[in-house]
Amino acid sequence: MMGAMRALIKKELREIVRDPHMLIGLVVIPIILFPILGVAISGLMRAEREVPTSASIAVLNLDRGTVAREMLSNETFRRTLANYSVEVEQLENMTRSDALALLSNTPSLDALFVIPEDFSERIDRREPTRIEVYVFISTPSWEERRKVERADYAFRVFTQAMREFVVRKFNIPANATFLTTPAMPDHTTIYGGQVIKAPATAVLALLLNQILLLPMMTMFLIFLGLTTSASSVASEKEQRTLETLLTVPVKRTTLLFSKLIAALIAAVAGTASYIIGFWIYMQAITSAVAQSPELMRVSLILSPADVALLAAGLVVTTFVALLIGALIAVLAEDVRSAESIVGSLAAPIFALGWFIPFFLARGVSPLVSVALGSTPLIAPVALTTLVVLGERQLALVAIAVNLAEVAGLLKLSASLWGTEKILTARISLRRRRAPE
Amino acid sequence: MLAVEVRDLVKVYGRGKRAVRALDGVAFEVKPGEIFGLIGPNGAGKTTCLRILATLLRPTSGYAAIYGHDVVEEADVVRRIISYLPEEAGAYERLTGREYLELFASFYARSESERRRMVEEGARLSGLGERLDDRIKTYSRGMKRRLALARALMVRPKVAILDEPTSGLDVLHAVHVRRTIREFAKRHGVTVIFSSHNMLEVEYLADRVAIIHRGRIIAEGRPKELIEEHGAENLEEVFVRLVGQR
Repeated sequence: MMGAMRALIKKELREIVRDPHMLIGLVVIPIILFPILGVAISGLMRAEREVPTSASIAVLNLDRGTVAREMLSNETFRRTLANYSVEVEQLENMTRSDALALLSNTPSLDALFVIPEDFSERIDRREPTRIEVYVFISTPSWEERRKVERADYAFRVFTQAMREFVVRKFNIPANATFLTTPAMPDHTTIYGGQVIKAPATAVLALLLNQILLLPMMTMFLIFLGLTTSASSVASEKEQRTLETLLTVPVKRTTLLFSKLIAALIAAVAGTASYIIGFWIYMQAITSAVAQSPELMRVSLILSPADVALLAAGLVVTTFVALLIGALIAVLAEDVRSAESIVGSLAAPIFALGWFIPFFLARGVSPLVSVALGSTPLIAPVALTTLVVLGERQLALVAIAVNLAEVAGLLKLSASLWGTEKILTARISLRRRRAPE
Repeated sequence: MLAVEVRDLVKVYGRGKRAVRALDGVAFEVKPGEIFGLIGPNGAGKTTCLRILATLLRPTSGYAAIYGHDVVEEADVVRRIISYLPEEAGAYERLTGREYLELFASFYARSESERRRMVEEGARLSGLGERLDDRIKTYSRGMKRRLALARALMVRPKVAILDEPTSGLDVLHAVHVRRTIREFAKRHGVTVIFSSHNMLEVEYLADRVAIIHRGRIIAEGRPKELIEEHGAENLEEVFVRLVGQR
């Protein structure tokens, strides 16, 4: 039995590897696809940008002099911040690490500004000072993106109020060079235990890019699996080899499983190629946008449990797609008909798959999340998004539903392979010739 | 024990008004080692009958057995002792001829040495020589048919079921195929049941024949006996007389 299965899988893989169309799908497409996807995602993210109108920050004053203290208690300074709806919480008698702990434990805080020890000295010398800006990213999501934008907004309002205060206090002419940039931000982003010396906007943009691209990659896995399994069965009909194969002393379920396993191997190999394309693309964009080499190490933080969940989800949902492909092929007359049916599914899969990560990243009800994670063919995109967003329990429920789907589809496929339907079913999408 | 036993075999395709009765009570027997020809016009039911024997189709009613094993109830056992060559059988175009033979040998062989023996036998039977290591997509129709026949015989089945083995072949390939079937069957005692339109081929190959028409056997016997019985010069004339009368 295992010998027959091994021989069949080997034969299937030989046929796949020797098909020039597969080479195009596996090598050429990933190279051109990811830059296109990246540009599209960046465009969508820019289009989604909202201008914040309020923010909430904490300020830790470490200034050895008196200027910062005076500024923070100045009525006009505080009124300017209030006019722009920037709430300020002054942290007293705290160390920098205490303040950072407070930032990470207070979701309502958008950022922590730390006024450095040499603040007064620099202002006295009319030199731009640096203000440390800390932003904590809990999960890369749309909500966090708004928080990061609010932190930027708060810094702009803060420096404007600071400029007005300095002009009034020191009677500096308004056109002095120092006043154009009285304070420079010194960005630090905290994400997943990493302290990254880079602006949170850049860090989050990179993370979101990965979060959106990673699930989208699974669409290709699904589509490759669907096409490979459908073609594999349909080509047996078209090449007229199925009749011979069905009379050999090998169980029909073994024949079916061999095809599914070979299609799974091809789909996984194809996805590996897409991952390489994705990795090359991410390297290119991080080196292009990264002013700081710190950004080069920004990546999704997935625990080993997350990776296991992701792998389990992908295997189960891909198997659902393979079984659907095999069922389509059983009913189709030839490869072209099977490919036409699969092709007609491509547009809805890709359209839905494109929007699901955005949709889930914005936050939807658990029921909708599980429903998306259980819908055949789009489930991998939804499941991957749920895992990278940290929704592990919802992902587990969706995987369980997918397992039930696999069991049902296997039963249906096995019963079809066991009857003469596999030979007699004839859905043809080819144009029939008019009789002569 | 009979090699092939068919009794009151009925096969109806479709339902209701669209139902087509492809076989209507077919019955015949084939003895071990015999070469049995099934002849009849297009649509007579030859392929349906062979497909039922090859366990591909289930009869609507009736009984068919290979060496005593019911083709419906014991399909797994039957598949171990038969080999089927469908009409217009294709081959995996991206494999080489040798890879194709190796694939099918691995389904039947119980050891690596047996598998190798089968492939060697297949290579010899196909007569493709060095071309066996080329991809099948480069083969002519005749070469593909020779390869498919070699595949069917190399496993030394107890019963070889061959549907139109020389259909669409030129004279040289057809001669090779006929000679291979006859020599192999006689040398190894393999029972062969085949269908054909070519009466010369049937006269050359078959020990006994059955003429099937509209799903029924209308004559059965040794070719010479049938020719004498109907006062004809050859089997073709017998066929035309019998089928033309109905």
